[in-house]
Parts: sequence; structure tokens; C-alpha cells
Amino acid sequence: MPVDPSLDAGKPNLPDHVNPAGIRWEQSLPATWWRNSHKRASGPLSFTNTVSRFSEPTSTLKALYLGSDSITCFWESGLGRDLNSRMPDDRVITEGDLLDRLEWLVNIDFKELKIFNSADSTALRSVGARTAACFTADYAIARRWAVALVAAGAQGILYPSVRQHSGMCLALFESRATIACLSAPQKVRVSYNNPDLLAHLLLRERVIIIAA
Amino acid sequence: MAENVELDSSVPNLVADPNLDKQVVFQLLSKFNLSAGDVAQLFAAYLEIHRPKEVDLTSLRSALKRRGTEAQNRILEATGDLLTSEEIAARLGYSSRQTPHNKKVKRQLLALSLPNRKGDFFPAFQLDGCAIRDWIPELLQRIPESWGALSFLTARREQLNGESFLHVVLRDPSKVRDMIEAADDYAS
Repeated sequence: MPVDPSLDAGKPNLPDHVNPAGIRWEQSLPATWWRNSHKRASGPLSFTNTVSRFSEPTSTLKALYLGSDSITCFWESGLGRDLNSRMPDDRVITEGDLLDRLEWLVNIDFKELKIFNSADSTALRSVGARTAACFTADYAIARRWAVALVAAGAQGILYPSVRQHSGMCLALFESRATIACLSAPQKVRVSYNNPDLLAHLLLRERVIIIAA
Repeated sequence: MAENVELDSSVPNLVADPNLDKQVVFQLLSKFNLSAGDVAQLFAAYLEIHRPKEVDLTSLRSALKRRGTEAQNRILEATGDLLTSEEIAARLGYSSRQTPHNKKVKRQLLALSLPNRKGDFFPAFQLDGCAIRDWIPELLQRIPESWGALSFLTARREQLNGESFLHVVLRDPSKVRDMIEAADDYAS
């Protein structure tokens, strides 16, 4: 049964012994996912070990982060993360910032992949995680869980966006299997041409755009 | 019988036609300051039912930019002193104002152009004595657009206890790497 992370206030624990045979893998995943990347990024489907929820430069894991919709993807991307770190009345960006961001769609064939759903309480119990916060709170703890799950056969982790309520995120970890399951990315538009995103920035997030 | 509905701009009414509904929304948005959160929340809920479309992009962009001038003034205030080309050339010991211009083009100096003002303006914080701070070209390599870079630098941030990166790195140069990493993340 899915859990709402905001209601699940348990203290995160570190992974102990994760028995691969006992893990409950997610069976039902949408095939289409979104990606938001800067136009100068090396490629929309690059696996990187830059500092993020499950990856960091010293980690052996390289991850590709995807979102269930274009708005979730924006908030989980560099510009969204930066805006999120600002005080509410300093959320000012330029038109160029949004023109520089590209939205992509990618189809994923999950048949051969083992994906762990960190929002599923049964799945959490199956690996000994006491709370969904193991994957959503302290990044240092989330990274330890990612390493343990990958060692136990996981190729990806599904988790709720902490920045966009109702949005889901998917971290895929680099492997031959994950690369093979990705379709060619389809460029949808630049973020400045996304009416849903602009309405969201205007009305929900009170972002201001300066014409530069 | 089809009826022509004409919007009275002084007394907006929500009407049945969804397209006209949206026109009313944007008329109302133009009348309210969005900092009045209730209004924004009301229309956010409205637009979740009547999802915006591509034809609404111009109206949305205009509304997003409505407070842009005010925001630019806040950024300028946080930026501090601005120097003309001649002034910065003198401070850096250059013989002509062409050199700051060349450094602007090479993204080694941050320069602004302002409406109704001739020439470039250079934020003075870029200078450490008579030299350009090392991190200016590094920042501009990541965020080349001047207003984008200034907005990034001057925004007050929760994890910096309400301070901006600009304040922090000017006070404590050891924090420059943190700022540059954040700029890396910004453009990822």
C-alpha cells in the first residue's frame, strides 16, 4: 500500500542485510517518462554521478533522473532545485533560463528491469526500511540505500517528488540493461513554451520572469 | 440561438465559453497584485480545470513578467555599486574602455545594459582591489547571461540562513566552491 511521506515521520534507518530473494519489486509502472535538461547538458539521457539524491561524485552509481510529468521534472532539475532553495520573494529568473531548458519524453520497457518503489510500504518492509524517509530525507542515507539495493539487483528506484506534490520520480542506475530499455528521447519543447509549467510558476510558485 | 458574448472589462464575469473564461481570468490577473495569494490560488485551481493551452502562452508570459521591473530593481539594489566602462577600465588599470568590453564578450567580466541608459555597467563587487575576482569567469562559464547570473548570486537562500551567495562569498572566500557547485547544478 502506498504511503504518504508527509505522514510517515519514522526515523530513517540504514540498510542492513538486504535479501535479494525477498525484495518486492514494482510491477506496475507507466511506460512514458519526462526529462528536463539544460541545452548545454551532454545529452538528455546521460547517467551521471553529480551530487543528487542517490548519486555523488565519489559513488560508484551513475543515475538518470526522470519525472512522471513535465512540472515534476522541472522542479527536480537544476533550475527547479535552484528556485526551490531561494526565499519565496527571490524567485526571479530570466526568460533565457526557461528558453535554455528542454523537455523530453522517453519510453521505457520495464520488462527486464527490477525497480524498487520506495513509496510502497510492503516494498519498504521487504528490504528492512522502517520508513519511506530512508529514501526521501537525508541524501547520505538515501545513497546508502541505493548502493544496497543495486547490490541486491535493483536497476532503479521510484520515489515521490518532495518538490511537486503528487509527482513521482524515477532514478535509473547505469547498466547495460537500463540503457537497453530506454527508447530514443523525443524532444517535446523548450520549457518556456509549456503552458502548464508557466501557469504553475505564475500561480502556485509566484515566480517572476525578467526579460533579459 | 448562438449569442455574441462581449466582455465588459470593468465588470468581469465568468461565462460559459471556456475560451472567454480564460480571457476573464487574465483580465482579473491584470487587476490584482499576485502577492495577494488568495487570488493566485483561486486561479491556480481554476486553471487546473480549464488547462492552459498554447494560445495562452503570451498571456502567461506577460503575467510572469509583470513584476519583472520591480524584481530587476531589487537585484540591482542587492548588486551594489555599478561602474561605467571608463570607471572599471581605470580601476583595472586598462588604457581604454575597449578592454572591459572585450572581457565582457569573453565572459570574464559581468556587464549589464540598462533600459534608457547608454553603455555597459559593471557591478563593482567583481573587483578585488585592481583585479577581477577569480570566480567571476567561472560563474559566467556556467551562467553566461548577466541578469541570470546576478539573480542567482543575489537571491537570498534558505540554506544560507536568508543570505545570498554574493554576501557569503564576499565575506568568506572559502565558500566560493560551494557557490560554483550550485551554479553547476543550476545549468544541469
